[in-house]
Amino acid sequence: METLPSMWRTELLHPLFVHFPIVLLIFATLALLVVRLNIFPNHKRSIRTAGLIMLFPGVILAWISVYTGTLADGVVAREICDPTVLEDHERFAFLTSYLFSAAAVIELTDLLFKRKMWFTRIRKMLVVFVLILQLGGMATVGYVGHLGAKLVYQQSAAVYQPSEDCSEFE
Amino acid sequence: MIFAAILLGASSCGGGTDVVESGSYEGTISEVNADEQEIYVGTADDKTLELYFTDSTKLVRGGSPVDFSVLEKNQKVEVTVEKVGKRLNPLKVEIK
Repeated sequence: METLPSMWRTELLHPLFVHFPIVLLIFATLALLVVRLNIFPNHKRSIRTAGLIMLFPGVILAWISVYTGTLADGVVAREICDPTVLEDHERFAFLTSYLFSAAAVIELTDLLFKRKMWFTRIRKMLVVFVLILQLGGMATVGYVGHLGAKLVYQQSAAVYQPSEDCSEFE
Repeated sequence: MIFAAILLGASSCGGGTDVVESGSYEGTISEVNADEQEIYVGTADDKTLELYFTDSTKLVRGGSPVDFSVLEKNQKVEVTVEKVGKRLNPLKVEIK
């Protein structure tokens, strides 16, 4: 009789982490957009703070997801029928992480040096740059998610196939 | 426009690999990933093959089997691959 595989397989660490940065980084970008478009002028400050609270852990979790994804890659690349999708998934995941990391570094610099004279001169330009980085990151995070879904739902990446008679569940 | 530019830029960046028909190919190892037992081989016609070793992959030098750890960048190899879907299974890797 077959036995059910463990839920603590190396390749399953990736789905454990990956959904956090997807949500955090998308909502961090939406918060930034709300602030820049001045949609709720009375709540601008608190929305910006909320956006930053989502951005920083989102970036850390994005890199953890890249790392766990690399671990999963070594397992599933030998099993799936089209590893080129996996490669694109990995490439766009790196790009997403770099875009949001750059945005986070600029935001952190802004928090630390916003009162310095030299920084105020470039601040307006950086504000636009951060928005572009995060909007770009939001696009790529969507595409990375789409490729991840293709790997799971079209190629069963890391998915256990139960036996025909389901005996392992008895 | 931002989205399109970023997606286009990323997709046109290097690092892509190629899928070839089953057969033997001569080339040079461009990268060795020992953790994942994986190598990248650049062929003479400018294609990059990403090969994940399996239990059935034979690795030989001078007709004798050798360990994965002997593989290194810039080594000349002849690889025999089997195309399954778009996956390349390395059946044999011979170090030249």
